[in-house]
Amino acid sequence: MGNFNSKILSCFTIGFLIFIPVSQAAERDDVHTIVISDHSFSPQELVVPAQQKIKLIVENQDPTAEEFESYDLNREKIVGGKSSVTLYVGPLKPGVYKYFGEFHQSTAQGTIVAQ
Amino acid sequence: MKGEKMLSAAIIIFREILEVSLVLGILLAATRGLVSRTKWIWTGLAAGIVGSGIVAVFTKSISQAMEGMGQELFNAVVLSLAAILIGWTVIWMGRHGRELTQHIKEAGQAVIQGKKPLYTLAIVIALSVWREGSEIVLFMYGVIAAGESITQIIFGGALGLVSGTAAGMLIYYGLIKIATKNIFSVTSWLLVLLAAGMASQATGFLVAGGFMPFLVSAFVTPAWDTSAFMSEHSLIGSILHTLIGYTERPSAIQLITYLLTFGCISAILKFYGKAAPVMSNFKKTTIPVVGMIVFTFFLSAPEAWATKKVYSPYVEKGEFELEARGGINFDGRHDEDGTQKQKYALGYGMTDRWFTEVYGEVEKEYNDDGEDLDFSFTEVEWENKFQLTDKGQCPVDLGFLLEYAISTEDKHADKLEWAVLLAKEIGKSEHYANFKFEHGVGGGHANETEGGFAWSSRYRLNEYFEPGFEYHAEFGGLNEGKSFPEQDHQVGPAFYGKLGEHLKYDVGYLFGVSDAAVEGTLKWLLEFEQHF
Repeated sequence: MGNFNSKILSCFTIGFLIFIPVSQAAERDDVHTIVISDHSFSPQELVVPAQQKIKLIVENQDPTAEEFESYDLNREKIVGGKSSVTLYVGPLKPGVYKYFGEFHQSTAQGTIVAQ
Repeated sequence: MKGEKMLSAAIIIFREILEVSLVLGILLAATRGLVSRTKWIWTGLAAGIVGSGIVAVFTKSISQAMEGMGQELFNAVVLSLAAILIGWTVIWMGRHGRELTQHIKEAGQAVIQGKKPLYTLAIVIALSVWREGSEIVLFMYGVIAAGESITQIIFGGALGLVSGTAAGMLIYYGLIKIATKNIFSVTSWLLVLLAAGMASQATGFLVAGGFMPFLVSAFVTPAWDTSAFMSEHSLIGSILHTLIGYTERPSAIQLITYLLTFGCISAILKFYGKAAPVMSNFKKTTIPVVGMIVFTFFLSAPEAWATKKVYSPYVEKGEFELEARGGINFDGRHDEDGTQKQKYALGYGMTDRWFTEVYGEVEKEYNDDGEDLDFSFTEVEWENKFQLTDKGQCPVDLGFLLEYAISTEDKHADKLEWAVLLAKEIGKSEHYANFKFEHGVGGGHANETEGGFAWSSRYRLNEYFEPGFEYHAEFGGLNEGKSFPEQDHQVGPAFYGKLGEHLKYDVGYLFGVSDAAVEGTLKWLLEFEQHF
């Protein structure tokens, strides 16, 4: 319970610091990275633990922007060229979740497998 | 009607700008990938604007000369030239299209091969911009000379300019969708139709100007009249007018010109071009095209009441958005039944955390006699949405809304509105809550803070269909202490989803559950999104 309360408190403190994109380093969250290179994702299939909140870092090594989008994961976010963004997903039920890069759909396709 | 001058200026300029945008859009779509086309297009635009500027300077003498038959001849010449140039461009592209698309990746050749006919693009655009620009200049002159309210006209004109450009862009991106696989085939069809339409319009002007006295009257009288079915002056009608030359009362000579132009260009294409144009990717194109037509239909529908939208706290950087929404009320009380409110907006995601949007609001309500339903342009709003936490980061997603509304009606004050936006994802369902506040600004208004609340829940069945429900409450003044029956409470089903890659919808029916609320409100929303 104590952990839960302090989490809410720190979340809302962050929330009220307007415009500051501070990502909260939650101790229990799993951190995974997906790299965008040559308009493709790697790894193309990312395995993550199910029923757990996941912190996903999308690192774009290409010079042009990409949009990380997934209806299955209910997330969409622009990643600028040569930069990274952080996304929070989960807890995910076991299964396969598809995502794609909206600006380069022919090559930018990937999945996240929760198990 | 209140705000009438602003609205009519907006509509007229919207139509002129839309016509230019359509021509520009088709040409841009047809020449996608051709190197160095950008500078020719900008040259054309600049030349057209300069030409309109010259017209502005000589406006008084021109409009006197135009009193005679000058205007008809001018229009006829401009349109014929444009039709010929478009025809030539289409044929040239038909011949070289295949080679060009193959060579586009090899930098050098495209530049050389692309240069030759591209100056024709500049000329077509210059002519179109010049024609529409001159019409706008002459209209403004007439309005100022008549002593109309200048600020209202300028404001309305700016609104028309912005929305016309936006609508043109919407159509351009729809064309891009169509054109990705076979750039030259589908857009070739559109260009041929455009040229045929321009040629037949030119003929119409020549006839009207009395330049074809040798024609027997049978050629000159209207062959049919479809104005009851679709007026040339309705929004869809004027779009079709520009795109394919739709006229409600075409004369025989106009029809002959249309068919001749169409036939000639197509025949030359077949003989000298590489291959006959083919309509491809039919399914992929129908949804965005239908979506756009539906969108414009809502634009042309008669003005309609309170717009019920439940906001999410999310912002997307670089996202350009066009939104139309409204509500129609149904009630036993005569003065509420059939009232409508509609909002139209342009928005852009400035950063990861801040989205800004400008709205125009129109209302349809009973006039002071309580007799007729009258529509009026009521408000201009500037809305800002701030996303405070990342989606999924915290137990509840948080955002904030801040907006300022300027009223165009004397009896209403300006308003400052703000809201706390919450969202939560639970499995495949999503839930939103908005805590809303409103405060009047300026004299003549009982300036107290009013409060409201809205809730939306939906199940993410699939991208195109998400069923859910909404609850809307308006408590009135926070110090007023209205009882539940005196407050506005509504609940009802709602459906959300996508209509294509870039179009979103939101429709629902809200039932009034408190005495003061209207019995039913049909609410709708359409949103077009594109990334830049």
